[in-house]
Amino acid sequence: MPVKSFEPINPGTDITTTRTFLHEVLPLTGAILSGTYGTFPNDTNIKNYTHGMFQSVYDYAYLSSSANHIFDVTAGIANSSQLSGTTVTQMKKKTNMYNEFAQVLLGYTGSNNAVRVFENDLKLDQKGAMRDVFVISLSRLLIKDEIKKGTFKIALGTGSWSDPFGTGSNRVKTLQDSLAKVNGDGINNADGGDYGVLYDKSNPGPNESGYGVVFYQAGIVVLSSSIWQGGASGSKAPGATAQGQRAGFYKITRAGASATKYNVRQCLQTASISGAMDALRHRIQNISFNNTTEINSTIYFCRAPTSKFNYSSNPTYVTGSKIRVKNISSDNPVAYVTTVGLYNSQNELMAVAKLSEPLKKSIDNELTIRVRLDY
Amino acid sequence: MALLDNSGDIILDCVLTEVGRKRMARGQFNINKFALGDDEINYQLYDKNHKSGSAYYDLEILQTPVFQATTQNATINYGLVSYGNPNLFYMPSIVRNTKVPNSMMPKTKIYYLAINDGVTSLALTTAFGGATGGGLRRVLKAGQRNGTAIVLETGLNTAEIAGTSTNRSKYIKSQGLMDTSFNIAVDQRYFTNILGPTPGCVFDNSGGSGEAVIKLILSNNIPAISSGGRKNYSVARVRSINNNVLRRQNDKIPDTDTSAIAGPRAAALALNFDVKLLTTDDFKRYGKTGQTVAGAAGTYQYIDTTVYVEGSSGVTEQLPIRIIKQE
Repeated sequence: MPVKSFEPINPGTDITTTRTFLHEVLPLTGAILSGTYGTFPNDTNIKNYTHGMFQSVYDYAYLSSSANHIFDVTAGIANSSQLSGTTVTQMKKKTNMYNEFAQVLLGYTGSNNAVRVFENDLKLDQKGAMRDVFVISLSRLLIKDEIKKGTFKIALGTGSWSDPFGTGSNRVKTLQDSLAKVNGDGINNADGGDYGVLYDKSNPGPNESGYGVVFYQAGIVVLSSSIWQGGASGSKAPGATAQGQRAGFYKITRAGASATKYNVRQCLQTASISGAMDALRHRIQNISFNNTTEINSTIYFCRAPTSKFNYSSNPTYVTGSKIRVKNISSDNPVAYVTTVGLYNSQNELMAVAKLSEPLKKSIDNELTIRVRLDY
Repeated sequence: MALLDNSGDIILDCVLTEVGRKRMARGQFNINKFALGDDEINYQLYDKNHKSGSAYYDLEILQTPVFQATTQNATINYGLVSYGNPNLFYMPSIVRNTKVPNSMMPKTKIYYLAINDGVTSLALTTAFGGATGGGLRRVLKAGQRNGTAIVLETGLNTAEIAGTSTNRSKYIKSQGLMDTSFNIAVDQRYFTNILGPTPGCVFDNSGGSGEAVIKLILSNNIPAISSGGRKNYSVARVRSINNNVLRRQNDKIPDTDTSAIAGPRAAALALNFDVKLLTTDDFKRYGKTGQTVAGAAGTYQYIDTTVYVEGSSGVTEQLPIRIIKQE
């Protein structure tokens, strides 16, 4: 039913648009990634697929309808990796995963349109290539529109299998996008959007290379396997050989055999993607970042002048046709606003706004109610 | 639908309505006016005699909790209205008239609307008092254009002002409080037409005798206007009848024997309805079947619905209708 009185909203003076960014702090504790739900590695919040190309992590047992998908993890090996010349379990799938992420995030290069490789700096000069990588692909539920630049941190254990976060020197390596700034400093832009480099220190030098990259809009973190090569002092480029790599990145126990420990290179060679991801989850101490939600708003200023909206068609407004809020006819008419309805030219109610408490409207005041619609 | 937190600053909880979302999906979202509502307010809480003074008159009203905004069935039932005269002391009311001939009388507070099948209205008329005992005025025959009708009147329903021609001009006409038309909202699942007054209708009383001069002939009005939020409802705008029932010094029959309005009158309205061809399945889904009616033979199936009436002055009324059919 149409209401009685309308006031026009002038597009020139009563409507404005704004854009704001909301940020939430998102701490993901490592405990949720391994051991909290079920027994590692068979956690009930970890979903493995029959295709075996990646592993999904949920914040609760994934068969529950209340579980939320938080990220996927996978391993990738570039065609040009030294591992590609060896016998590698699920080699094709690991290569395909690497190429898929690389082609979407970085694109192609050269006259033969070769897929770019991830690099541990911002230069995209095919130096400092990260050819054996772990990829964490964060859910849009968490990152919303993008990860806020300069806020990403991931703490990784580089200790032994039984004590990955132990107290020894530099056992926990915290990678962060130390140089990235919201204003665009310290980042580069590629096909997959803006990305920054993950360093193991808070104030790296300008030409320093890192251990991985984070793509802010895509919500993808690419970690070089070199983090676990050679321990804290290891080279940031992937090792040419297995030399210097810390044993015990991954431990597997097969029936009827004693447990076998592998370093990260051996893990990528020997283990399936799911197995390698179990090892990675075992070593993530925590992840934290701020997400970003971009809110575009239209603000409608609903101006009720002194002479308007001073009476009501509410059935309780009158008693015996006499206006309740008056003692004599010269008393100011009064009405109380609880609702603002926004209409189109066909009198269709497009949006409705409720005030948290009634507002008094009388001839001795005027109201400007600011109604904001967010998109 | 929860209530809004009113413990701190005033906040505004805004949502797009179902219609708004549809329009946005079609790229037709364009807001160009607003209206204000006060559905939650009970003005009976306005205490003009509060012992602590005028600052406390509206204390309870201002503490009224307000509901969250909803997207479905979102509407402003009672809008704030604007009148140019700040010194209005009276506003029109709408009342049901059961005084004039052929005016429909509710049965247990419900208007019975009989399907036009030739048997239902006959059985109910007999059960409700027979043709001579008032039964005809307790059953509305669907589609009937010149028989019993629901009659409504608007005006100042107060004995403080006499319903004279002068007062009608002073308190109603010159204040813009005449109901020149009525919006009738019906559930389009059941109704095809709203039968409203034709230009030849008369709602009058004769000078001198004071006898009622009533002529109610109805015609079709198709409910084709969007109800603006009420699901399944559509609106038809029907004409009003000039309510010329006046109080005169020498009338033998008082004006209030004809009119249900005690003071100056504005308009009158007569209503009936055309009903869709409803199946037993419809009655099962939306109403009841196998029901008995006291005093009536056989069993009946019926659907209860509400018809919403809104005058152009802002007066509103809800009519409970029972669409009934003998099985």
